[in-house]
Amino acid sequence: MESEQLFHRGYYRNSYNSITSASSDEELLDGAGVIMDFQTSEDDNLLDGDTAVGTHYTMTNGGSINSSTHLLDLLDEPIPGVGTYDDFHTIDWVREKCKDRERHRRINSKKKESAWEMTKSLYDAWSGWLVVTLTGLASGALAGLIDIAADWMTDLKEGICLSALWYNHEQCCWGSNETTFEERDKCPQWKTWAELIIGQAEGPGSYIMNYIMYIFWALSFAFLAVSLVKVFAPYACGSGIPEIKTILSGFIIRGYLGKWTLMIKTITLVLAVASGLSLGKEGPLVHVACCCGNIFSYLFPKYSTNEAKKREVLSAASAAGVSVAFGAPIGGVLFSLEEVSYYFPLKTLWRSFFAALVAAFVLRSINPFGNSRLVLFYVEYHTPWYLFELFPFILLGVFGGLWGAFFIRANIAWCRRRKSTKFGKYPVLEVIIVAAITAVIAFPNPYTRLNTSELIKELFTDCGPLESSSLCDYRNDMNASKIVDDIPDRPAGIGVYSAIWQLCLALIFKIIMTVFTFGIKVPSGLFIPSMAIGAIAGRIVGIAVEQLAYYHHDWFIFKEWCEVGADCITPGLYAMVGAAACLGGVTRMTVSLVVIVFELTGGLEYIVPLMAAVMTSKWVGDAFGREGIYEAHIRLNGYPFLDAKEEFTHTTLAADVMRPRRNDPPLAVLTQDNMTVDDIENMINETSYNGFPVIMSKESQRLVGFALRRDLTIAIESARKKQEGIVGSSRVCFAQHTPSLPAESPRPLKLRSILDMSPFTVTDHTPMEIVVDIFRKLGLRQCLVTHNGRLLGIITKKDILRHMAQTANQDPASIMFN
Amino acid sequence: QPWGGQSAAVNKHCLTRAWRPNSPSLGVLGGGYCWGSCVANSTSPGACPGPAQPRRCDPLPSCRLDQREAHRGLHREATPTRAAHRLRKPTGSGGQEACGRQNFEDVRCKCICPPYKENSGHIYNKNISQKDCDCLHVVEPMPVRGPDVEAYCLRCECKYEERSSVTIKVTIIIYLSILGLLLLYMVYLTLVEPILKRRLFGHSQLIQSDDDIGDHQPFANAHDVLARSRSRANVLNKVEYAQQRWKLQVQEQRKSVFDRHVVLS
Repeated sequence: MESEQLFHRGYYRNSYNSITSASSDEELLDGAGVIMDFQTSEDDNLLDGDTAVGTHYTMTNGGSINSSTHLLDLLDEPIPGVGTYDDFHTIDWVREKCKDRERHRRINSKKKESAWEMTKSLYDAWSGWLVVTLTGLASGALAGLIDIAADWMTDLKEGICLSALWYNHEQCCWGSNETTFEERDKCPQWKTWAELIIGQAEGPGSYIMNYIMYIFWALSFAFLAVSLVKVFAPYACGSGIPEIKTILSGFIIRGYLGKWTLMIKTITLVLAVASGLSLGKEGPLVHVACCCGNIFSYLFPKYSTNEAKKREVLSAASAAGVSVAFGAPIGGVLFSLEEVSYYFPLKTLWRSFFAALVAAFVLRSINPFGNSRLVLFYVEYHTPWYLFELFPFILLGVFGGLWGAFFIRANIAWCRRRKSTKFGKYPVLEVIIVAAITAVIAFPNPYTRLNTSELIKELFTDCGPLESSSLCDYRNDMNASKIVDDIPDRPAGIGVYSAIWQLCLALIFKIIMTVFTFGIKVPSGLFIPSMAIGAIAGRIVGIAVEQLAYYHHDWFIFKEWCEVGADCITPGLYAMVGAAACLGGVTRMTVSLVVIVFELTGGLEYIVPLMAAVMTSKWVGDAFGREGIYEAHIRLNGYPFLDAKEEFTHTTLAADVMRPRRNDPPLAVLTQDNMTVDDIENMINETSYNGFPVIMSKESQRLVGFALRRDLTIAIESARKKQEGIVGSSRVCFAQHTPSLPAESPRPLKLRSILDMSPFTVTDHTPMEIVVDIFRKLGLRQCLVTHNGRLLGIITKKDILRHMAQTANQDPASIMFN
Repeated sequence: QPWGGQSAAVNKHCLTRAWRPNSPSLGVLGGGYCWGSCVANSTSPGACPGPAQPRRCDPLPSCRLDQREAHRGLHREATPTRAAHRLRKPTGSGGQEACGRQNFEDVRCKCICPPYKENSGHIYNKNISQKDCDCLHVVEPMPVRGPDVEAYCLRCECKYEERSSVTIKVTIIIYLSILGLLLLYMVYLTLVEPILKRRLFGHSQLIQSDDDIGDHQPFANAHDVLARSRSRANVLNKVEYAQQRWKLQVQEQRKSVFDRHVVLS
């Protein structure tokens, strides 16, 4: 079993050898456990002994003050490191919350003592807001950097601004008066590579030259991105949202939200977007924001030492991420609530709101696109829509749902192949091949050559008289002195028909490439390609409906609304609805998606079409499979994610799920006062369990409490180093009073402080429905099963996940990690 | 009936308001729409109001008075900000040289004028303050004469836009320098360091043969260095130690992502 191997290796290296490895916590740049209020160097050595050798770093190694149980014996000196978690383990929400409450109580009680304590308590109260402010500032600034750099690098594929190298194409021609109405992006300052290398701007030679340079840049960007990811921070690849969902539900992946991940993700995200791959930067921005949140939470002891509290900051950070990704602060908060967060109290809602606000404000003041908007594809419509248009909107919703279902199936199949076969051993090669294919096919088609955000912008934009693209090549009658806003439906010209062909090809290309692109080992988001696919489909449908209405305005559905010369169909609106539908089909979001899209467009009147399309898309998608792409990836990776949305309806009892099973060896338990240190160490070495129930005695089997493996090893190690007279034959005592011992025996070791004396218990006849509910709602890590007050077995979160997989006819062994 | 549409009737709405004589509502909000309708209708004689409102319908000068409100409504430009006034710069004498010099300035007023009669569409660009950002100031030389000016200008859309070239420059430079440093470090770690190590160990192998050099992968010797650096304790060693530990972490991550495929696949 993977997890056991993981654990064993980590365990042997970490724990017992750790005394030999020394370091001090202060140099742990990732901030793991920096804040501790004990000073002896031995403690540092001890704690860092585990962090030193490998498996734990960065994220959450909060050195703990007074950790472990809430019913802690206050007289005992706290043992550092107790109450922290190993890599790839699940946190116990109940325990963390108790810890926080206790800390809060302590600070509150000291508050009156002195001005200093008062200041400390104020700082503590404010630290929540401070940390989200910092997170918002950082994520806004990073989003600005990513936007500007990605735009510049994308245009670098085509050419360069000779007069000022740091400008992208648009900025290069910013003040130029040479731009013409037809070719708006041509100006003498901007040189294509063909102009620079072979000196001609037109003709087949220059086309080929530009083609070659485009492929060259695309390949080099992709190669740089994947090698940076591979060398410095492998965790920076992918979209990050499935992992963040898992982390927020209480899993620990050390290093996933660390400094290096942040830096590499930011840098390579730009490269990946610029390489023209069919991916977006929105999903990874959520990861970037969460990294900021995690890093800043180390500045505040309230958050650095408590995993549950830290997850509140991460929830707020993910809201800030979406806020800057789409320029949709409210949408970001709802996204955090609907999609990523697991535990979302009202306090977190307000903090998310604030973080989203700060982030959006910072990004707006950076003004990365020069259009005073937060996103490139901001559009503003004011054209009305009509009742009969709901029908094409719902059609688009059906398309979105089908696309979502198809994408999830195909992508998961491909990723499973990558995971299980040899093909996954060549990540660099894979990225290069995908990038090469994308670049070679994308260049000839103007709609795929464009940056995907720009493509979406073009598709969203409605055809006014000011537009000159081929999408707006309608046959005009030049007679009237019509006002700008009021362009009637017109017959399509040749340009529109050729554009539709190109869009169809682009649609097929995007659909295929996105399946193979999502999951390659560079930062890759899914929002933008999905939206692009929807926007292309929507625009095609929009133009079709528009032409239908123009040529058949006497049909009864059009008769009432679309007279000759009326402007009744807006193809751009269809593109927008299509984008929302496709995104909804893939992610199965509803509320947050509609809010994000309406914040993008600033048109409240389009909420009903958007809702109709998104809802249809969700229904259609759910008909083919209930999980969205993120849940599907979570399941593919076997993360221990207990989805609160799923329902558990089986009639099994706790006794059917608990360990040990009928033919298993009996439960490994500790007794309260008649085991020696050697006994416990043997038991720890022989088993791989993460915790041991403590009972009164083997005969009575009555439950005393629960001790975690990690806490036990740390405490024993610490005692061997620090306390006099602890040897292998010392008695270990979990009870309140030390039993009377023979005079010559060594001093007993008191471990009551690490014992959780209020473990959750259920009886063996509790229905699993209730047990699952308890696990979900309280965020338990394990639960003990008793019968007539005697300890019978244990149910862990992993057991529940395995059981659920089994009842759903899936392979229970796919659930990894504890 | 339009469902949810609100601005389809903007012009009609304005028309009615504009022609109300001495209406007090021709203030800030109304002015935007009404200037447009006023000018549009002034092309047809007789549509203009009589002496009751001479100032409003005097095409050019009065329109200038009202333009601030005017472009807010009519030209749907990018969000006006107060910064515009601070950024306002004296414009040159016009013409190509001035524009060439101002290419990389941070403010522009861009007017897109669609084809009109025999004139083809055109884009005008001028470095001008936000107050003056309208067709009448920006479109130079005016391609049409006389009464057509208003009709032409009504079709143009003028947008006032700002950017910060310093931000762009600094961002790109920061980004490129970080990228450059990372690339150098990557090249060092993957190419140079193994060679150095091999050479180093190649010499020292005579003395201490127990050093393992079998693995040439980057970071492969992290365990060794970790073990060795523990014995000494100065600042340099601490840095080296931290670096080695980081390398180990990355190695571990790489194993779980690329080799074992337990996460992120």
